[in-house]
Amino acid sequence: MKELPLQPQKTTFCNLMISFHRFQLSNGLKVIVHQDYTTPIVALNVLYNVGARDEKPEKTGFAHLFEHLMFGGSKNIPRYDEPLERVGGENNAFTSNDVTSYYITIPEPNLETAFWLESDRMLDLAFSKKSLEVQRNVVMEEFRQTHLNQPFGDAWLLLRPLAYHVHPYRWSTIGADINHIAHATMDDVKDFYSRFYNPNNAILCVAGPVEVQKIKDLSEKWFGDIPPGPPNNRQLPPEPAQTAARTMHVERDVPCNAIYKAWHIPDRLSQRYYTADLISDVLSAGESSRLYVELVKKRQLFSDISAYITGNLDPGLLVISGKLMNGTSMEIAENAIQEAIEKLQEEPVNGRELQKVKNRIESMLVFTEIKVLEKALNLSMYELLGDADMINHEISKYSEVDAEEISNFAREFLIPGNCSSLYYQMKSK
Amino acid sequence: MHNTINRTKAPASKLVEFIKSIEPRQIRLSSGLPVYLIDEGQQEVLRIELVFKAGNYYQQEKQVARATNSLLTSGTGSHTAEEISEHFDFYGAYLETNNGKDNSYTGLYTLNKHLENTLPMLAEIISDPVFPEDELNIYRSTRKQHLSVNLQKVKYLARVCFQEQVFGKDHPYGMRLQDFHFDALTRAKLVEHHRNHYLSGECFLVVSGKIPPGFENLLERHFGSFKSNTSGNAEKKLPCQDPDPAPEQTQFIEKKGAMQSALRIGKPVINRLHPDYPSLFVLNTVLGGYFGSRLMTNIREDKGFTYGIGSMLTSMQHSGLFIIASEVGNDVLKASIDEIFKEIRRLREQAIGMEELELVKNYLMGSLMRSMDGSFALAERLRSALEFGQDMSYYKEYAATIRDITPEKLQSLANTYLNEESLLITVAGKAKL
Repeated sequence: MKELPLQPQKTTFCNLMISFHRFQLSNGLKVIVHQDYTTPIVALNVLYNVGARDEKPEKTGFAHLFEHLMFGGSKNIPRYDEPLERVGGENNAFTSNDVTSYYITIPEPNLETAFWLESDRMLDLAFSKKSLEVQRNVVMEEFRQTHLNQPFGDAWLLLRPLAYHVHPYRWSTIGADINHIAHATMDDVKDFYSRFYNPNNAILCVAGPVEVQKIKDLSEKWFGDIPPGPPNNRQLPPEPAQTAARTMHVERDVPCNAIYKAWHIPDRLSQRYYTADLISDVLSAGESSRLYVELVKKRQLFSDISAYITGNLDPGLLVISGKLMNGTSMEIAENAIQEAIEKLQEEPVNGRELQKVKNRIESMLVFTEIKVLEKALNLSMYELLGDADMINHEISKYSEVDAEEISNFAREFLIPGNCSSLYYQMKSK
Repeated sequence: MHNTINRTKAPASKLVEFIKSIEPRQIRLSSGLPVYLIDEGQQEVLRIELVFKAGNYYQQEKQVARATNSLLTSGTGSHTAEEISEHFDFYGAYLETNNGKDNSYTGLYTLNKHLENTLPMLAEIISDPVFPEDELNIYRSTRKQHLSVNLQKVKYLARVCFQEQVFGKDHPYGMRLQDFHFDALTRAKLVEHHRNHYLSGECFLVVSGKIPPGFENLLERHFGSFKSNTSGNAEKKLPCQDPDPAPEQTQFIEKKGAMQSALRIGKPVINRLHPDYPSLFVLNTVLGGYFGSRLMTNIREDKGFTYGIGSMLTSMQHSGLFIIASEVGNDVLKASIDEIFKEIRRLREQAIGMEELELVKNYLMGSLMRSMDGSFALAERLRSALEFGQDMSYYKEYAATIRDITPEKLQSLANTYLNEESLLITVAGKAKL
């Protein structure tokens, strides 16, 4: 084995600094402006503080269905996409368990069109019956395409209610049941809109070659007269601490077995969230990670295995999931995962390995600074968490985590009593 | 300041103009290897990509090109697979390997401050891979398992069966895989493919990002002995005929229990070397190339038959493809196909209205601007141009085509290239209509 090239003894992290301006309109809309004159494109993101966690248990999948309806025309503009495409813009949206985001990229000279379109659908929707009917079908096809007509596609529909008994994270963004979408009514749509789609429940972020004063004027002009809605006093039932291991076995028509194990972890604002994230990287980021080297390459028990955190705002999950090589028994696979966890609990992560996962985070943060759209999405999300400036302190939160904290975390959280295991097996022939 | 505003009227807007991008700088290393440098960006990062004429078209047998490309990182004369990945991971670098129909790509994303450590390892995996037998065994068994999972997906089935339908199963572009292709892989075949197409084939390098001082010397030090042989050494080996002149018009691949059927409709067409290509690209956009396209508007937004439908043009060195792709409910499969054909007929029979055409032109100009925004994006545009012997002026001409194209031209293209009788159909899922 030859010597690897010399490495620096101590790495200093890049100085990450995304500057921004922030102001609030009298109706409560928060606005973030980030200036970047290296691009001719402006990114504009409207984040609404509403996600699948705000749905009623008997009407799940609604936040996401609603996102589709936001493209069905607003009070003064019959079609959303057409005027935007006509001026060279492009848009998309996503819904998660926590939030719903609508974003546009557009050549700078035509930015006002984005303000016009986004403000009108915040002011009032068209509530077209046809749009509701069509989008119900579209979303049901999406449900089938992504969750039902795919090998292992329903795993998360099974794992969530196993891991969560009370908190609304027990259902997926797409919904707990495809029938909930089939039964959505126009009254549901109107009710959801008036509760959540209000300026005081939204964050607008504009990033690109823009003057701050111009964004202030445009925000005031287009969003200023939208009346605020009721305050969003979200009160979700916290998930009680899990006290005993939970398991579930299913059989499906798939060509190999799979295993999913999920442990509860602290919420997004906890310092220990960063520990959980680094642990998932030690386990499975890159081909030098522990699970890949041990279980895929050396022991050849799995064809794929990965560890990740769900990234939720309320207490989320650390998940290890993998597909077993045919011939590996579920018991051997599970024991192998358990050994990797015990190693975390018993032996401190060595200095180079810890440095490696931190370097990776640093690199990821630098690369996400390249595109204005990514910056706009991130700034909005951090503002929702409490302060857009958190984006500039992420690296120091990761660097605080030491080897002892990693072992402590593994001993405290990665224990059988805090774990839900889904055994996903091939149908026996 | 709350003047009443007229919300029914769109704000004033400007036509989107083509912004001339920075020109890449070309240098040659002492061995003759061409390097293109795009020095732009605020962040201290680089993307270094090597492009080899080493894709499927040049392989002796199926899967050899892809396996060679994937296993470049599986061990060198000096380092094991684990050491190589640990090295890149430690420096927060990402390696992106990709094997295409014509070319193979190996790209490194790295922070500039680690360049002196990451660049030598990139050179090492390309110049000195040893393709260890045990790594090949693991590759073979995991890839076979991935294949078995993919074969459960209607989208995968439709994609590969459509390509086979177009090109025939012996053509390097007709890529349907079976287990025995993996079983037939040997270390010797990978070594040979690497020797012929990486060490003595045709190659170029594209570097983008904030290029640090002294970079060219560093590149010369590690890549200076790499040769790019442009004398046509990389000739094709697989039997390769023109697509079957009379393939079956419609094929069904049954997937029992499927809730949706995946659909592919298309045919071989011109590639980007043909003067009509930019115009055909505009026509394709009208049909299915953006969210507001005719296919999306009709089949998703009006009928609700699908989560998504689109059409695309893909260019290969020796062919081009026009493809419509979607996954639709089994009960609306026939209705969806009928609507698709109706939309194609409409393109042939009626000229596109000026309002729709203006929209598409502006959308495409915005899209072009986005696709050239930032040094990495520019590098991708440049690479695509270079692969077809073009340069950045291609995009300027493309922009001019968009600006000048007329409804009459588009209608005539539809009649030349998109006759309904010439289209092939693959359905994976439902057994028949």
